[in-house]
Amino acid sequence: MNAAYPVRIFFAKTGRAKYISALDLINCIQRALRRTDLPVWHTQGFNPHTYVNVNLPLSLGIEGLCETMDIKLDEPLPYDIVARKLDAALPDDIHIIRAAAPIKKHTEIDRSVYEITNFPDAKAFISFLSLDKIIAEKKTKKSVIELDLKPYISISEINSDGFTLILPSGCDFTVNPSLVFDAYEKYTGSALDFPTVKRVRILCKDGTDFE
Amino acid sequence: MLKDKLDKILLKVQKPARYIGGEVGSIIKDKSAVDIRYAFCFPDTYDIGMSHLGMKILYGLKNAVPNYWCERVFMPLPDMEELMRKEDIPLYGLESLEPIRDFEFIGFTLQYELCYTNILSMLDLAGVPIFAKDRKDLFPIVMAGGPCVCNAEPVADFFDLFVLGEGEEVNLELMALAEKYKKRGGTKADFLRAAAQIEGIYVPSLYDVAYNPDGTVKAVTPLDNAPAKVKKRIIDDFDKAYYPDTFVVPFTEIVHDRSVEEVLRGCIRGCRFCQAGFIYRPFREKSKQTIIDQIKKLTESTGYDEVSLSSLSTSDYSDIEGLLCELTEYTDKKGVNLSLPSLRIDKFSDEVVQRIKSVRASGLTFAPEAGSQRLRDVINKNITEDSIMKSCRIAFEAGYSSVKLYFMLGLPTETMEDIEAIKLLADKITELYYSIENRSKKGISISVSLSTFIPKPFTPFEFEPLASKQEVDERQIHLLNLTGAKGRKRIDVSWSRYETTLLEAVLARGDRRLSAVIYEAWKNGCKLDSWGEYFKPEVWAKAFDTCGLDMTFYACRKREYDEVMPWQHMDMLFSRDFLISENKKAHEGKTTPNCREQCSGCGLSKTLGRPCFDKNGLPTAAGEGSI
Repeated sequence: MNAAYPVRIFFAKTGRAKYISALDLINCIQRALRRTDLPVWHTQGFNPHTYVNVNLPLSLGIEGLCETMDIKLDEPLPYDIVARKLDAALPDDIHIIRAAAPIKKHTEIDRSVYEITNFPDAKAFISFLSLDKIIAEKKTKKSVIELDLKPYISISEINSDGFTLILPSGCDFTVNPSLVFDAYEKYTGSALDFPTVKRVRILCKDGTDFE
Repeated sequence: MLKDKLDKILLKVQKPARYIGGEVGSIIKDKSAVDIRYAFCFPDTYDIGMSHLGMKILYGLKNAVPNYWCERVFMPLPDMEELMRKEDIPLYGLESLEPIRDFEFIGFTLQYELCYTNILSMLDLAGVPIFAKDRKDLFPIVMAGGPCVCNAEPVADFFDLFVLGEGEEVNLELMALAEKYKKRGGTKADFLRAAAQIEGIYVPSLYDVAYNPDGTVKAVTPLDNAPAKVKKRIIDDFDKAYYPDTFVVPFTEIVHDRSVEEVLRGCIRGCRFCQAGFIYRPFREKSKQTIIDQIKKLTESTGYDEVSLSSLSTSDYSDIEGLLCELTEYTDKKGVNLSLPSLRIDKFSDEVVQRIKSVRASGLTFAPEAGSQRLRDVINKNITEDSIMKSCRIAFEAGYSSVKLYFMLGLPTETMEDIEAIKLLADKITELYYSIENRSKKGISISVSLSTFIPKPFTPFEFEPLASKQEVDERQIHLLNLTGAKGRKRIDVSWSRYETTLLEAVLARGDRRLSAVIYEAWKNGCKLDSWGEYFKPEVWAKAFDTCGLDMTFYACRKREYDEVMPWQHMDMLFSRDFLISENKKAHEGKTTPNCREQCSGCGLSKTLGRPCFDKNGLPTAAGEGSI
């Protein structure tokens, strides 16, 4: 078996691309890789396919400025060339920022930083956060559980239009912004008109950026 | 901006990616440099419309002109339509996200009759008056193309004009005319009169239809210099015809999510029930080199890992073995799957069979259409039991264990014996399977799919009645009684819903008076009629009552050879006498050889000015030879 050279790709998924589901995104990247002449590594076995691993899938409707995925190459290539070629093969709203050697394992991912804008009433959100408990119904693979979100939510940089929200995300446990907003809608009794949500950083357990 | 409004609703609908565009291959232009904007509307959902080859061709063709911009528009599903209406979002193009009511053209493709109410929904959502007579301004021009235009009468009241035949040339001629009118000004009536002079353009308002007391058409009279017969357009030099270098590659899964190469157009077979086999005449094919070059370009530009060869009958490609050998060399190297729908494997050499085997198999499918050889002769379906058995043997030895068989019920001259023959054929295939030593370890699975035969315009069966519900029911029940589960010889039978069949039959051969019925049905909630869960037969029945029209008059009546058909002013380049003679031969149980074996004189070669095939059975090319 050939040696495979892992490459971590950093990309932004914005605009119209925020409606691409996590599963469709992988398909989209695989096709983009086939549109390039990059020596992409394929999984071995009966049904080989282009290897793409998205490290932390992004929920539908959220924009991401620091998304990452891992691919492998059959031969080493300068990272800027990989980035440039893949970027040229992608739709406009998926933009490759850079490519580099993976430094951390994706299991080290601990939380995400979201920038919330177009939020109608940031003050009401603060008073929502001061509740003793914030109960939400979280779907797991097997069932729906009731969960108190309160200990998991932290918020900063509050302004008239929105705020920054930090929530756990990773292999073991994730709280989606939509889960928090659903609970907020229940609390205020009115529909929240889809504020703009952007993931701006992905952090590891030690507080450093995932890279 | 509609984008902001869309952001408020898209997360509330199923699969929002189909409503937002932005795919690789979609064309964005600077609208200040564009003169003519064209909304290509597919009157069904994104998943279905995006699979349609004609749209890909015409999208690429129009956008290849720098100052034309063609965008894609599909029918939103009810969840999306409801939110669009609530939030006041008019129907928009997926490229610009701008309302299509401001475009110069709103063009539909009419692929099947049951999409007609969707057209009304889409026009209404666009904020455009539904009836042509209510659209006074020059633009937008609401038009349609596609196979159903060979009888567009049922939707005549909604459209300004139709394109008859192949669209590659005539669409550009029409857009050039619009460009001229846009610059110098003019009324819609002026424009339509001028458009009617372009070959292949049918302007329904320029024809007056008179009826007999019994409801049949008495005469169709052209007005204002419109041609007495609208002549179908064809691309004579098919090898040189425009073909896109790339497709729009969707984000979400669609029905046929792959590259498609059209290898040939037309069909030599002349199956008497098949409208496509007649209206796409003459048979033309691309050269091997063109096909391979186009496939390479498409594969590289789309990143698809599957390519399918498309045509009415790919086995009839002159050098199919040579093509497959060269093609598999490329696809194997590239790791691309080659998909060969409806290929007849019985006539291939072992070498080719071996090669195709390396292609991942989707299953074994046959369309004998009729159970007995007698009835297959009547419909001129030249597939014999021998060839089915031979193909099955090859496939079973290669490890296949499931077979799909397609049949039609209600064919002209059909008897219960013909129905019983369906069961006998399935039994023979089962026996064959268990007689093969190195068969798969699985038990055989045979599925029999029954549709009801629908007489279509421009076929030898356009004179025939649709079978009644009672007749179809009796035949279905008879077959089901015969095939009842019996140990391992299980035959799985499925069939179509008669109400759907009846409506399709009515719309296929209807006249202009049906526009009122379609409008009435739509107004009362009919749309997405081809989707079982949305189809409302009782609302349709009521709409016919309200308009004083009878479905059985259109569908279940035998038509005489001298009846004026509602589509008589369309010229599909072959003669009515040919259809009559084919109809007579059908009732005599006589077959007609395929066009490659022997010319049957349908009249097309007269139009071409040369025979369709040369002495060696190769299709003639433009500019070659003469009669």
